[in-house]
Amino acid sequence: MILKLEDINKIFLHSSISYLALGIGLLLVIEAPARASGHRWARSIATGIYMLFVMVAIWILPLFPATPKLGPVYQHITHMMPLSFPILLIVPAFALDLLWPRMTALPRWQQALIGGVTFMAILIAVEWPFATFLMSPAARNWFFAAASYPYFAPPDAASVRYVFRYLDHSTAQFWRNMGLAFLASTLSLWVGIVFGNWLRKVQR
Amino acid sequence: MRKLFLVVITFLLPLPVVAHVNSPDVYFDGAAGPYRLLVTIQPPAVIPGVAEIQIRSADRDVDQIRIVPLKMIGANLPPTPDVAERSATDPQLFRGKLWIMARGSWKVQIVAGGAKGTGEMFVPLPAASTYSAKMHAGLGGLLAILGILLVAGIVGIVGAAAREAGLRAGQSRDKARQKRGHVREAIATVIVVVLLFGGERWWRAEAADNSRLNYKVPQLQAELQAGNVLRLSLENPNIVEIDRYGVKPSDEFLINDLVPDHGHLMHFFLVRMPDMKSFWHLHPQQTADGQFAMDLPSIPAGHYQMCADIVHHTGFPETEVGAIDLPSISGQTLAGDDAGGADLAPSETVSKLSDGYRMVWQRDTAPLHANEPLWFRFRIEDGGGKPATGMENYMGMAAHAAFISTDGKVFAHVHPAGSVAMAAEMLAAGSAHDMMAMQSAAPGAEISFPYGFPRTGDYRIFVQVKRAGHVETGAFLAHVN
Repeated sequence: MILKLEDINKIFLHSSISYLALGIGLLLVIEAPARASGHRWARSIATGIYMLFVMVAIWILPLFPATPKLGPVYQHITHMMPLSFPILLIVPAFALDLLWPRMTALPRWQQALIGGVTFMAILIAVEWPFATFLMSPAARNWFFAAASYPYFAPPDAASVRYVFRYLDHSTAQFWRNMGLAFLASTLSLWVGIVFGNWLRKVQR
Repeated sequence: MRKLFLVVITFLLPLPVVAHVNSPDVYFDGAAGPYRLLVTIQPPAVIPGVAEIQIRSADRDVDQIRIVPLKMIGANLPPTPDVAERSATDPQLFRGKLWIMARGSWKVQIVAGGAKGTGEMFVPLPAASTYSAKMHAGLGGLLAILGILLVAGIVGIVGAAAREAGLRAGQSRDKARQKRGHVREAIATVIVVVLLFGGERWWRAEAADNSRLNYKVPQLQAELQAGNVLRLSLENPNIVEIDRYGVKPSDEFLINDLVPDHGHLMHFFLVRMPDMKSFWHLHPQQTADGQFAMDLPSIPAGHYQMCADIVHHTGFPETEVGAIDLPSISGQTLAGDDAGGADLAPSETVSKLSDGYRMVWQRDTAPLHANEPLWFRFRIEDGGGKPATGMENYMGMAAHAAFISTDGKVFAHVHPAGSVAMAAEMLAAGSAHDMMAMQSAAPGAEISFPYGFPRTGDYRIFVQVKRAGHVETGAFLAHVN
């Protein structure tokens, strides 16, 4: 998720780039270890750990004093600034955990297609409105930390003004990228299934 | 990560220049409260980058100097200041490094403390990336070797996994497993190579995006019209777009935001090349945004280099450059602050002025070296060698000087306070107070300029002073080793 940070900034969560970035590779790293472990709720646990880790960082980091060391400084900062609230990955991951036992008899490509499309659809369904919430005054508190932006963010930066940046130049580009997000999600899950199944066969 | 890597790589490399023309270093002689300081700043050629700052105190009573870079406008909250390191061998010399993280108009706040208390001053610092640094061949080679090792490693792991990961304890691999291992290695190699090519394209796209932001020296277009009217059109090639985070820098380059520097929106220098004997410092009037015009004085024919100094409202100075072939012009008499000469014979040390006066470059016999901060001291004398009287300020300053390389590639317009534009200095200080003070104090017969030649070669130095209502121009030769 660290590699995707540039594109999953909350100001981009109403643009296709965020979901395309989330579609590429994410299900590989979720599915492969989940298959290898064989744990019933492995996907929910893995994504839950990710979310909990970021949330704890959001709650703890501001307790430490800090000052900017480099200019230009646009924001008066007195403590460490956390990252944005994590992506709600646990919701689509929980859906995959529910689906998994029901798909074991299906060919791998069908598992990948059903799982990849379901994961991306649920992710968009929860993250899109949640991004709207993160832009609202209700999220500007210690729990959601929506009022947290870096010292180098100028007053006209979208994050400081709590507005989205729309990076799609056209509706066609938006839908093309969203389609690619579903495709990437499906392919990533297929690779994850193949890799995870192979991992189970590794002899120790 | 790739951006961070780019920053690290570019920081490691030696780089060229901007501001004035190919003379980017900032020289500034000023007062931080009770302390007189000579400041030299070498700005980074790539942004983000590190500016090297050197501060020399005129006296020994400065104990500590703190430095911090601030944007000229827009962001007024200071980051934590750095303490400049005092030289172990020269207690009056302090050095420091400043990270300049964004392009645009900056100022360096300098706070000096010592026996006389604390004093503060600001030095303008224009910052622009001038080029995209190439990766050092040695570093590239090292990274290539490490990359090959990584590729070999991942291919080897895939092959080994295909051959042996499914073997039970004591079971040996058979021919089928061997073959499967080779096939998987081949597939892994193809995938890795495709990924590397994709990564290379990604890198090039990012590099192209970055290089679009490099500073481009604006080109001045000139046209001579009937009645000896010279019309000038400014270029603005450094237009800034809103970035993906919705930010448009407050110090973007505009063409309609010029502010007066020494009372003029433009200081226009004409030098005939290659003899450099015909030199003119003129002040066209703005007729529209980016358009200037003036009636030329009587100028001999020749191929002229043009340098037009302007200052934006952000305090960012630019020099627009160009060239024009002029016929012999019989124009108007020089008036106002316009000055120059049609046949300025240069000298190593003594330049003749009108009325039998002369200008003497008080230099020692030591050779001149590039990138060495120096004081250029000149004395105006009468025919008998006595200091000139009746000296006046010329556009608010004791003198103006132009340092121009004989190949025309270096140009710097310098004042006794240094190489910074007065308009930028006033903006940095936050008031017009200093300018007014300078206008009221009459200069003496000795003047000095802090400056350093940016490269080796031959230079012409034109020094302009005002005496008894007339602007005089002295011309000097300088060879820089």
